[in-house]
Amino acid sequence: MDVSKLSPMGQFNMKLYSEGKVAYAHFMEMTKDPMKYNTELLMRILQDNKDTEYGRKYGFADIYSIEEYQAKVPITMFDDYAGYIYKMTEEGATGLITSYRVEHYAKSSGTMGNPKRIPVTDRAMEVLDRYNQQVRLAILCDGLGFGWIESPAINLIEAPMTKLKCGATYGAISGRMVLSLGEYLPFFMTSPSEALVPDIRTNTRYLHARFALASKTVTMAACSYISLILEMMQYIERDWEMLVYDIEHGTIDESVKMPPEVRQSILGKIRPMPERAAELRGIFEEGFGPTVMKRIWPDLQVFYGISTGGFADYLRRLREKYAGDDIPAMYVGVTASEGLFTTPYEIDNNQTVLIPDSMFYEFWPVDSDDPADIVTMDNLEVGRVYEIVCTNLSGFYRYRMRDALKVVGMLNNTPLMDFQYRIDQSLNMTGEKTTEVALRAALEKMGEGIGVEVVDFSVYADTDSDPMRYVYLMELDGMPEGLTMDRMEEVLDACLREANPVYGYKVEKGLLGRLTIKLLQPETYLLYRDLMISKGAASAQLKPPHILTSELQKRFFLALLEEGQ
Amino acid sequence: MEIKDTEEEGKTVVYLSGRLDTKTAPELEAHIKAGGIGDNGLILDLSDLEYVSSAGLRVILATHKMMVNRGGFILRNAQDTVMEVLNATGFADVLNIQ
Repeated sequence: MDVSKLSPMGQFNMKLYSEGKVAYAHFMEMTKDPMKYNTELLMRILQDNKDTEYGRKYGFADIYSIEEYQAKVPITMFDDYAGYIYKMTEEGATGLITSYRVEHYAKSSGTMGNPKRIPVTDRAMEVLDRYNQQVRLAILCDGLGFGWIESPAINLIEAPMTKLKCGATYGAISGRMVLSLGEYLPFFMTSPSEALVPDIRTNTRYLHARFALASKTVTMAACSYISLILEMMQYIERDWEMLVYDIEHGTIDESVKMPPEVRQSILGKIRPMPERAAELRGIFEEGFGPTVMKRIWPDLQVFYGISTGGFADYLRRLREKYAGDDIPAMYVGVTASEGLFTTPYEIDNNQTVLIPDSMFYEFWPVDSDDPADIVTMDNLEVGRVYEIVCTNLSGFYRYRMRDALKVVGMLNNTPLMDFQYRIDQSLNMTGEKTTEVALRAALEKMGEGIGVEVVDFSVYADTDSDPMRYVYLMELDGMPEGLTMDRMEEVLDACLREANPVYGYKVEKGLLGRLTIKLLQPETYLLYRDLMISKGAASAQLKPPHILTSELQKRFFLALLEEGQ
Repeated sequence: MEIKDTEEEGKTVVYLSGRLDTKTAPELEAHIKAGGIGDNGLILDLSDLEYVSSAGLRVILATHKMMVNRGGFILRNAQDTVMEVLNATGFADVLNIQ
């Protein structure tokens, strides 16, 4: 291929591809002896940070083995770093927990409370870029060929950023990664910059959908969570007449919210596109359905976004309703503000591999309370679920992530991990420890069994009832004729007993009552999302709340029950 | 649901009566989109509104966003049952309710 004849975007992608091939080959080599590389990484982190306040406190300079590290350095949680981070962000202090340069503070989703500020150093960004850009591109090219590298992607990742007193940026880590594409960004995505770094008053849903529709040559649809692509398609299905009208006339409907200066700027970027509008109108008048995405974007080749765990069902629904089964997914691996844990190693494979040079890992079995049971990656058992305890490149040492991951297999000698649930987000009234995975599995099985399509769901522990019980709140896409609530509850309860036998045991013993179901009004989850965004939440970070942990969340959903519930 | 427009001190006042639910929310959305609402603000009078659902709240929220730069948006005279929903869903923290 003559790279010089490619567009700037094609050339940039080819450069990433070349770097990615090298990085991918090195990664595959590491998977043969991951402990060697993981131990080397730990020793390097300790050496580099021995003169920080934290490093001096725990004697990093005198640690030469994993055993010594485990003996000298305590297990930590976020609160152990909160004081340091306050000084770093508010007073610009350095050398406290890391000697590396902190480039960014990641805004955690804050599902459980106020968003945290998680430091991200230049070293951590290097790793993120290597795996999320270079290696990912190598995998995409190996899987899809090179036909797509000059076309823009639908990109629903938004990157609202603020600057902290210390000068570092603050926002979602996914946004920071997108912004690192710098001057190449306009070539990469259909959405305008006003949607990438949005003013809170701007209706970005409209901008993403409208600019995506206008571009026929899209080859990739990228997002943080795959649910966002499903939501965009639902929006297009509902509002296509307005969107197509605007594309035809080069206008922005008056009802679409955005500040005047943003509207002015966008109007400067658009022009009437009567031919594309006519084409789209024909497609939509023909009807939606599983071929519609391919009819809108004939070259669409891949979805890219978090599509495992709780998001697998959104991918299924996206394919069922709009995309068909021919568009593969590029999975994202397990990632968090604290760093990147796993990476995919081939296209359309939802199994992702632990990255030996991203952070040092320890694993605490979730069914154990004894720190003596903590193991390194060479002692993991396939099929067992562990909490990750990480030592990262950004100043966290033996840090409990509160994420539970299951070992689902091995690639060479490196574990394949699957995200299971947030440990703090399980229901546990009598020791039954019901995870989100079990709650979802039961619901899916019930849906298959009695033909109920669930749009989304939330569950909370009803501690006021006697005996206490679980309450499933769910929004349905229609209720099958003749199906009673009692029957639904009976089936769902049986499915949950199967998904979590301890729950079944507690119900048998009368310690828990049979679960109950309450139906939510149509559009309740869309409303939740709209409201959170209007309160300032980053759309890229918003996840449907499947386990309700706060009274505010509970009040919200209980106010929106179907009548008669 | 019935929708009636009047004007008060240059602001458009939209009176809603009946139920604002999945079936009727698109009517309100279309009514507001259809125009006639100036840049001096909008008041949604809910004194005769008996019920509001998630779909109705989404239209209200979208209207609120639309009016931020067009003279503001006020909800007023909500009955107790509707007010309870606005409070419980956190709308009372976001909207100007009188």
